[in-house]
Amino acid sequence: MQYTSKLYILVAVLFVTCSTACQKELKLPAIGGDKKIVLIGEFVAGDTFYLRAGQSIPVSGSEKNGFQLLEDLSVNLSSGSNKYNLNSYADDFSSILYTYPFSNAQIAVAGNTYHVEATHTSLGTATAEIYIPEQVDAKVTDTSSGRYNNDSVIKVRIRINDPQGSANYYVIEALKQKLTIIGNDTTYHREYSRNALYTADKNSENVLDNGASTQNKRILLKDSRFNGTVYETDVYVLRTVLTFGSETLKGRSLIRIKSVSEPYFRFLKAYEVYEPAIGFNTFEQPVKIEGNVNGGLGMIGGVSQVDHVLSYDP
Amino acid sequence: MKERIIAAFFLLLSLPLHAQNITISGYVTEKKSGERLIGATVYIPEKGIGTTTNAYGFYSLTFVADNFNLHASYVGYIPYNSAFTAKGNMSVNIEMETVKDMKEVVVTGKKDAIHERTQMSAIDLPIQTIKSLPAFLGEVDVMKAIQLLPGVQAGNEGSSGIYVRGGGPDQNLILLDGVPVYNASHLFGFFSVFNADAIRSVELVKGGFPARYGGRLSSVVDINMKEGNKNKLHGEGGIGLIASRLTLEGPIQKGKSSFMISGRRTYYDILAKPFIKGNVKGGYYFYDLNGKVNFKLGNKDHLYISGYFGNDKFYAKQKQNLAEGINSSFNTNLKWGNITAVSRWNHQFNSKLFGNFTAYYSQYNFLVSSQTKSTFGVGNEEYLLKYTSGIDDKAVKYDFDYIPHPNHYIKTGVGYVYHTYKPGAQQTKIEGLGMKQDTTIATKNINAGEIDAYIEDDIKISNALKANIGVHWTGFNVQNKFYHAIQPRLALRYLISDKLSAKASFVQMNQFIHLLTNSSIGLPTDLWVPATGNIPVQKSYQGAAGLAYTHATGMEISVEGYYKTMDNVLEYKEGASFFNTSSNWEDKVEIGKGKSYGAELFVQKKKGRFTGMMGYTLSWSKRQFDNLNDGKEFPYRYDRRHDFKIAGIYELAKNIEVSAEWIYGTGNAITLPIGYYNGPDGNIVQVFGERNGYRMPSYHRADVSIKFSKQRKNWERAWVISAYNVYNRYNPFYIYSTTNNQGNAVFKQMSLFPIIPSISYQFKF
Repeated sequence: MQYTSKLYILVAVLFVTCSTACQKELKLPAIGGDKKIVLIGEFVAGDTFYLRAGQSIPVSGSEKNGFQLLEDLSVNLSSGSNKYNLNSYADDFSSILYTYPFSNAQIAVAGNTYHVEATHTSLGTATAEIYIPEQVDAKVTDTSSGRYNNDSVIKVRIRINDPQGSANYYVIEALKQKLTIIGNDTTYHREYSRNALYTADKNSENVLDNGASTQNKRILLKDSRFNGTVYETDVYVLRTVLTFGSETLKGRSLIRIKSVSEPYFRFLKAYEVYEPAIGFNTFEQPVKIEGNVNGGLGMIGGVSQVDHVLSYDP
Repeated sequence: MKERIIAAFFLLLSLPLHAQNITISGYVTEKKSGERLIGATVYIPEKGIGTTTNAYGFYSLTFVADNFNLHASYVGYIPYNSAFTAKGNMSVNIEMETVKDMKEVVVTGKKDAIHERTQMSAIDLPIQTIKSLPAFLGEVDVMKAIQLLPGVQAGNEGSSGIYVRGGGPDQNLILLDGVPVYNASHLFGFFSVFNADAIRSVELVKGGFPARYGGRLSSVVDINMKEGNKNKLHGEGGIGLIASRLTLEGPIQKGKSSFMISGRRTYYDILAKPFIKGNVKGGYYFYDLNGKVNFKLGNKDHLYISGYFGNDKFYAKQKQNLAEGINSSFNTNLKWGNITAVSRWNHQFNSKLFGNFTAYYSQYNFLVSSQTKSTFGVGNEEYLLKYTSGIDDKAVKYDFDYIPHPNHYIKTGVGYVYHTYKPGAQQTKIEGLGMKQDTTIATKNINAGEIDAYIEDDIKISNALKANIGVHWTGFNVQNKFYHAIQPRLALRYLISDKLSAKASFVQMNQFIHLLTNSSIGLPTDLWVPATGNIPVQKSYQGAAGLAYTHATGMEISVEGYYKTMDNVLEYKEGASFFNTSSNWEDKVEIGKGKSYGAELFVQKKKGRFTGMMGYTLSWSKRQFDNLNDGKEFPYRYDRRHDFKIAGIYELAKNIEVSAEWIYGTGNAITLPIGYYNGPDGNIVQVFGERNGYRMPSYHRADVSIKFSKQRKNWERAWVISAYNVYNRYNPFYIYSTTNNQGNAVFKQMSLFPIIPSISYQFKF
């Protein structure tokens, strides 16, 4: 009996040793990251200028691993000889995303290039060049219900008239846009939630990198294989019920087809293949997401887009 | 330059031969089993000439006719010595007996000593040493023993993969009885496919490659299976914590033909079965089957047929009765494995010319499938996802050994390989409820033809200077494109004293296949693809120089420095992965170059009561790709500045053997995040620093083992108790970032194996 209990103790000691051996906190190496200005946004042809700005968190043993709002940042916009100031304000997302919106009532014009300069007394200056592509010529031609990858989906056929000669980059998104209906008045908000999409299009970057059975936030297509043609592609939108948390806050489903600038396409591609939920580990080489902000971080994309309202019973 | 080398080669070949010479030739075999001994030394002391047996135990010596004493030696065997009267050309077959006690070995064989050989950067590991080293979970592993050698790195914790002199995992030609094995690992690399009980010899060549080798840039691991005992039925086996194995060998026709069959299987799935409750069934197993038969067809002909068959399989099944008339089932499988089959026919044309014809088949396949079936009152629904990939080789070759003169040992040969690469096919099948879809999206199989031809001569230029000069030519025809490469090989040895020599070598190697991998673990999903019209052939140049010394006790010491360049190495583009249905994998890779350089020290003691080895490597390995790391050079993941290994085996008493090893290596190079920001969808974006710009903590561990054996009347048994990572070092397996209780960013390290004790039972009869 004594031997048996000693054996149990030995097994228990071994078990504890084994289970504690598996995890250990490491001292941070001297990697010397600094806080930087972050600029995130899209300049959409025909829409007003809008971006969000904040600051990054450096990986450092002395820094709290939490975001903070960046106060006293000034952001200016210029195109040719025209210069504008972008005004900042706080909105509902400021305390969630730790960024302030900056906007201006001027309208972005397709084919133009804009220059953004953000200045802060301690973080310095960050700049970005944004080219807005010519107006995208695309539309939804057909929709039908079905199943894809064992999910209930809406199949959406999209036709793109791709201009010859120039390199064009397309992004397809499925969005639910928040709206409020009071009496006969409907108000559409600049607030969206995303619907997942599938594609089996071999010319899409999604299939190239992740295969045809992966749910995507965006479908990414570049015209190198269909330049100058009328190109048709199918996307499969997940039939999910999206609510905005209130009876009065309804939503409408949109298919948004965008033509984007090349740096923005590269950024979105890296962002699409990068899976934030998995986080960082050293098994695989990480995906570097390169933005277009010099002296800072982030991306301001140039976009021209069309929307198609999708009607279906959830 | 190439023309000059070839001209010099033929000039040396034309050195005058003596007409009054006689030739003595034959085979060296083990007396007890009748197995032929590879690399045994045969020499005539009074003439100062000697040679080593080839891969089939054949030797040939030519000298001026005179009476002579013939000596032969081989590690672990009683030296052979016999006097002969010269009577023209003679055939002498030598039988050698094993020593019962290693202490009794008299070190007489000097001709096989490391400082005598022209070949540098090559190490042969006695199988007995491999079997005596501490084994992880009691499973003796050939590849893990190779990891103990200098210049060889193990990659991740527990992995049986090898990275040689800064090269990638695809740059190793792993041969089993002369057949390439494409995925040499079980259980995601934790065990290799080679069952040590079925193995007779293991050699690693990591530089100074003789011309007979080709097709890989960094190393050749040449493993030969046992032939089988020609005289008596014999068996051995073992029962371990995760697997058991059994090997049987014996005569088919006594003294003329024999067989060997060896099997190994894990039993985790069987042991776990009683503990899996409910309607879910799942498990994992792997198994290996090695077999070989050989027939002596006459005094001059011998036929060998051998094969390997092994598989890994993960499986999970579930059946559910959800409601009356509604059933659902789920079935998923992950399976991969190798098959090799080879037939070899030796023919001795005369006392100076030996030939061998080989025909082989090698296959590697990977399959993952997932199937869901649902039965409703109104119909059925089925969803199937299946992905397959693999590679097939069919080959023939003929090799000659021609020994015209004691100063020349010529090897030449020609071969053809027909490769079929299957870079991946995905089938998606959806059926039911008014919908039917069966889509197979596949990358087309790629067929390629490869022709190899080589010639090399091991030349004794003077008593002090020997050279191995050769050339290997490869032609590779793929997708209507013909690549070819002439690869010169040169190795020199200069005897400084009777125990010390200086060596140097220069080789060009070309590799016509690539391995696409986006993980550091060595997964079965790693994909073999050929050079194509768009993806160029890998090429390397390697120069090495060093000293080799043999101590009077038989201890061998070598010091070598090397510099290697590698062109057209591949990496997946950032974020790209194997699991896609794209028609073109070529769009997903980056083409770059690499270089590595360093110095290695190796000490090996093969004889005596205490045997062991010690290796130290100081090295650098770098990569450069135009589209990675902004085009700047970066350290290779397995760039390891310091790498130290020591292993020893000591016969404590007649029936007790202890062994221990200690390994130290600089941490792997990794890429770390240096900052974070909120991205477009509110998801956190990580900002990364220099590619592979940081280091994991260093790796070190010690393993120990003790073996108690007992001789019974007709059989022998042994208990082996061992402990892996005996001082419970928390070695890094991977690192991830998180936030600690104080809200600060921290990195955490996951370790895979703490101290792991194990016990196994072995038997022999």
